[in-house]
Amino acid sequence: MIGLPTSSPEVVSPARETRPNWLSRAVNAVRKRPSAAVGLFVIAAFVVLAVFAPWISPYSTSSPTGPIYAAPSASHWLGTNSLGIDELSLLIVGSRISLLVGSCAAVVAGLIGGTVGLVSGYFGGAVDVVLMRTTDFFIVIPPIPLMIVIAAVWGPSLGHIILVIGLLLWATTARVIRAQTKSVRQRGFVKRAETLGERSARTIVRHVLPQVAPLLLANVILTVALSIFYETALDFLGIGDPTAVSWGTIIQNAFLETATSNGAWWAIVPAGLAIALVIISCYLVGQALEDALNPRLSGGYLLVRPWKLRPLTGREAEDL
Amino acid sequence: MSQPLLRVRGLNVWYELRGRTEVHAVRDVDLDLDEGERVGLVGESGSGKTSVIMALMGLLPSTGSLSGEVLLSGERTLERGERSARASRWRHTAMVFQGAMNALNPVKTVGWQIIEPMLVHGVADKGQATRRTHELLERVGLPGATARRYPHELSGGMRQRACVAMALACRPKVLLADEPTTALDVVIQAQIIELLDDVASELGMGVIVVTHDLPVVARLCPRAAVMYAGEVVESGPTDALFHSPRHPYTKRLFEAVPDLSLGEEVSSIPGSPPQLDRPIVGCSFAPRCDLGFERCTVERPRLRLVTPDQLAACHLNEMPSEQVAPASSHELGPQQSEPDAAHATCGPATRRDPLLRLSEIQVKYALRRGPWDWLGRRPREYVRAVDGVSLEVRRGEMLALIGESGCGKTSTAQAILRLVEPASGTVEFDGAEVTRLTRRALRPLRRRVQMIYQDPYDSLDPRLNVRGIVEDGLVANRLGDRSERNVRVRRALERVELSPPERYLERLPHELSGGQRQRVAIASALVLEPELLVADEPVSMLDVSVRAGILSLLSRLCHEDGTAVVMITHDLSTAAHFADRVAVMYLGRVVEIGTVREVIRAPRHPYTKVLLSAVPDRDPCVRARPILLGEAPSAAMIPSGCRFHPRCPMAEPTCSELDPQLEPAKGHRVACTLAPRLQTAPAAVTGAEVAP
Repeated sequence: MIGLPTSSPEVVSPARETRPNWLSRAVNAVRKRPSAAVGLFVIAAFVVLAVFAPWISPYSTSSPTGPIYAAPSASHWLGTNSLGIDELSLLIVGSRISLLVGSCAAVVAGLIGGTVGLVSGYFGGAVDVVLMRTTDFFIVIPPIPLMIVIAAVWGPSLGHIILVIGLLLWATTARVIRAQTKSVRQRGFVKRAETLGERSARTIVRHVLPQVAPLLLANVILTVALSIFYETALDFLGIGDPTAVSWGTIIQNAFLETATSNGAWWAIVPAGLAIALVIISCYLVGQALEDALNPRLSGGYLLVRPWKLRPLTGREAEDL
Repeated sequence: MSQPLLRVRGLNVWYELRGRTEVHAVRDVDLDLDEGERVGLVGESGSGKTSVIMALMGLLPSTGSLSGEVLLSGERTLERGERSARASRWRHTAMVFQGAMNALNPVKTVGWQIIEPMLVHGVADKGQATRRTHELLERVGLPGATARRYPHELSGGMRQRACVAMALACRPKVLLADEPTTALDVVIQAQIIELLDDVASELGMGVIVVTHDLPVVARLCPRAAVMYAGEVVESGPTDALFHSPRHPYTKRLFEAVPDLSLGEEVSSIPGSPPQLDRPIVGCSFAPRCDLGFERCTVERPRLRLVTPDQLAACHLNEMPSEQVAPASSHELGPQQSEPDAAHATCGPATRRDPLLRLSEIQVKYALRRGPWDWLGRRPREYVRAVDGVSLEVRRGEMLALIGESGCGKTSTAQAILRLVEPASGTVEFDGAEVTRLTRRALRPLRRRVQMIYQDPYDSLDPRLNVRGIVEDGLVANRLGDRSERNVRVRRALERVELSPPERYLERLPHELSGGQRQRVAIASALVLEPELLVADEPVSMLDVSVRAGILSLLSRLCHEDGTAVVMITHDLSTAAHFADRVAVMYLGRVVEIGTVREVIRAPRHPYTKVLLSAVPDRDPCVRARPILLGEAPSAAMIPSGCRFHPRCPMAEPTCSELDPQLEPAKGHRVACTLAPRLQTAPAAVTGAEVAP
């Protein structure tokens, strides 16, 4: 596999000359899969929404601007909640926390998982055994209860939520990266680096990391989806930052204030849809990246289509 | 005139590439094959030779398309595309694929795979097919019980034999062999060649052998066709092609192949074959041809009769005879090899003290590990890959390590650099004991000993450009500042004949040809100015036409610049041509060591003699009968006494008890108790004879 360097967190972007290569491949990957383009578009739209939230949101999110549980109308497109606060504004402002926590936690998970995977796969032996048994341990931990416990002990804050989610989601990334590192380790140019007298750390950063970076990126994007999911879950359970507005707290609030028995579907459904949309988009992009970068997943050459016979032309025809 | 068995007219093959371009891989190929006749198809990789036989089998990939007429006993086999091809495939034309490892299904028994085509084509019922499978296996030299075994239980040579049996299952009229001997050891190669020879003459099939290995064609095929850039440029009797080629490419191709005859010049063909995704104007070989003239760049030469039985596609043949003459005496290109004088004595940089001294090196690999071995416990069983090897290499000297695969030659080389830790013994480099150094102290030494790997497609980082790759060693060792590194990189590229360096600095590995890649790999080692180069099969992955160039480059580095070179190779001809001294290894031991002249001309160990006899000559008139022996035993089960005695044609009862050691003297040494007696009658064992 010909790898490409990416701007994933720990890459010390080593090769300027390959940049067009990575760009063109990414563009190609998106063009070949319209689903990835859709995912990318949705994510981009939500990012724009989150960045410009204070300017876009039509009403304040801290004070009531209408009646309690008002149904969607021209003035309140998505109605209002139990306090009379505009739901659309909450949804727009809430996207900030959800996306921020989701991406930061995924980066934390990617950093830990990437490092563990690279070190474990590169050095092998006892290092590998110790790190991988630790990884196994993290894989089997049921995340939600542990997150509840840790978040409760550390106290609710944005930073803690990011750390807790990051610390519990790195294990699968570590496994995937380790496997890829092990195979890159066998390549001639990595062995050659060793004979050149290169230090292991340099070999990893210069030769191995760029080869596994695309896979790491794909994994980080997939982890973003999971992190958003867990962030919402924690908020819903009331363990998140109580002062911040997020999609999770919107749903929690609606649940606590008996929105369902009031028939106020607009208090729950839009936030739920937003979460689902972002998660699906992350998966679409992550999958597309993985497929584009893993040649074994592209099935084109498996086509059972016979070769073609061409009519005789030119020289052959006149000879016969 | 009688109808030939197989008649191919105007065969063209195209492959569709991504981005809507199309490669015209085979262009207007005509081919005739009579019953019982054997034809060789030779050429560099990418010359379209494999495409030709894949088209004959109807086995092109879905991106392929073909046109042309293929008549098998007067019947058109491809006229209805895949449907008509399927009916005749394996029934009338069968094939021995390249790489026997992949041609067999790992989850089915060998017998099942031989029976399958017979049942599919309705040639035999189940009982008959089973009986025939036994016969076939015995015919190809395998016990009949092999039918119940799985491919992984067989060695490489046995698998290739099973593939031959499979090809013979339906009694095909035409047998196609695609590189039947590549990836096999010399001794096994010779066996497979003998087998194909026997089987083909016994069954009277027509055989087409596709190979880049000219000696194989010289040995097997009385007639051959040379392919270049998708077309047949010359065809005729093999010895005529060798002795009086009428196309410059044929001549240069034969010159590029070393054989055991010491002193003959070997030269590579400069340049690379043309791109086939655009139309070729004029002669396809013109850009690389040193005899070309104006007409060659304008008009495509047609294949015509130049002698009563030789066809060639070259305008030179239409010129008056005195102007054709230069074809046999033209000047060699700049990549000419060192003359023979280089072998006898070393260059001026020679010094008496050995630069590298291995004594009693042992390398062991753990065979079976217990569940707690990662904690540092000792594994229970070992393979002794290298078992007491002692060698010396001086500056300005090229030592070739020769042996079958699994004999420990690569492990020995890795032990020199401590890429594997020797279990015992010492490595001394320039007076310092490498085996006693700590990892940290080893690093500066790594700079002075550099390694060149077998596969230049794997050993260059695909993301770095040539500058980055060559510079890597300097940066890693913190040598020089930016401008100095730049100067050194350029100098290294010039030394490997990639000049001007500017043309290559910014290129990525995938933009280079195989030969250029290997040159870049060598440059990346040279930039550190090493005193010792360890080259692990440096040319085995490269095309025949560029091999000689790489080898003479190494030889020049060695003899002119005084770099010591240890070259690992399984190819005796290569060693004979380029090395100064040869060490023959067998099952972890050096069994014979001496100068090239001594070892190749007057081998004393029976194993060396066997190896030498297995090398086919590139001259088709020299037909030496190889000595056949069983396959190499595994290093996990080393026989008692002399390791070679179970396979040795000369073995005596005492050989299974006495473990011969390398004679302690200097010079040509051998580890065989019988050697003193055998020396008197060497002809008896080589069995070489020159055909009239």
